[in-house]
Amino acid sequence: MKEQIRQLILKCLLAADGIMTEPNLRTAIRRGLSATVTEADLTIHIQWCEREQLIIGTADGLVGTTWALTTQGRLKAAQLQ
Amino acid sequence: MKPKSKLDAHATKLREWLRSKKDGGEGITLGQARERLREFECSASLDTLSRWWRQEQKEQGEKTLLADIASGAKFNRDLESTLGQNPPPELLTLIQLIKTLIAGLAVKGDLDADTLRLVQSLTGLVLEHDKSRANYELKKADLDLKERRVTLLEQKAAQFDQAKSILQDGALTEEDKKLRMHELFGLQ
Repeated sequence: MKEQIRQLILKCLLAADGIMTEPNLRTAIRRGLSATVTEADLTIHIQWCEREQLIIGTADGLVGTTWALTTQGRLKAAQLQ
Repeated sequence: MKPKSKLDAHATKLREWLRSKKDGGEGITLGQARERLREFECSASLDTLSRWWRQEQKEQGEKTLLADIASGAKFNRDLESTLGQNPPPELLTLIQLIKTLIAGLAVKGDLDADTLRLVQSLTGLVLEHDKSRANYELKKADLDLKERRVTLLEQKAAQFDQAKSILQDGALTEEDKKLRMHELFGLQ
């Protein structure tokens, strides 16, 4: 399951031209998964992707945290297609 | 990725049969589908068919999700190209909010044609308003320039009247007139 969530994070970001706000990313992952996951689960997997330097986050006063694919993340996401 | 199954060879037919009528399929039961498969010399248990269909729906769900997200992203790209290279700074926040709204609707699968039309109208209104405001500012600047010209002309006319009265003043000597004229026109 964890691999499925991490892959979905990358695929969703790739479909969104590489950038998504955190609320939108979380909504997308929940919609894309057949099983139910908690917000805490999602946080762990988003943080894992960040630690692996697949995604990078920036804070914005207007829309909150925005996640973007790194070059490495984009490559991995493209391989998943 | 779905594990290989003998049912994959009949995937197109199965999708057509099992998809609900609302989604353009026939909406038959798994039992009916199993019977039909027999006509194609394929036998499968209900359990196998059920597992295959669940996996298929999961994959279709992900495809739909990614297509929805991509459609929102495309709309936002088009919006950016409509705005051109340098959108007015005062519109950037509004545009950013519209783009976030679009992306939010897309991930929920709510970005239908009607919603897109509404957002396009909203964006059109914003751009039209900005164009009108820019035109207003241009006209205002033009008017200010004309007002400054009129003031300058009035000042010149007043100087001309003063010069005329100096020249016609019989009580002044030629030297006084010259001095007054120099003062009037700010000459040394």
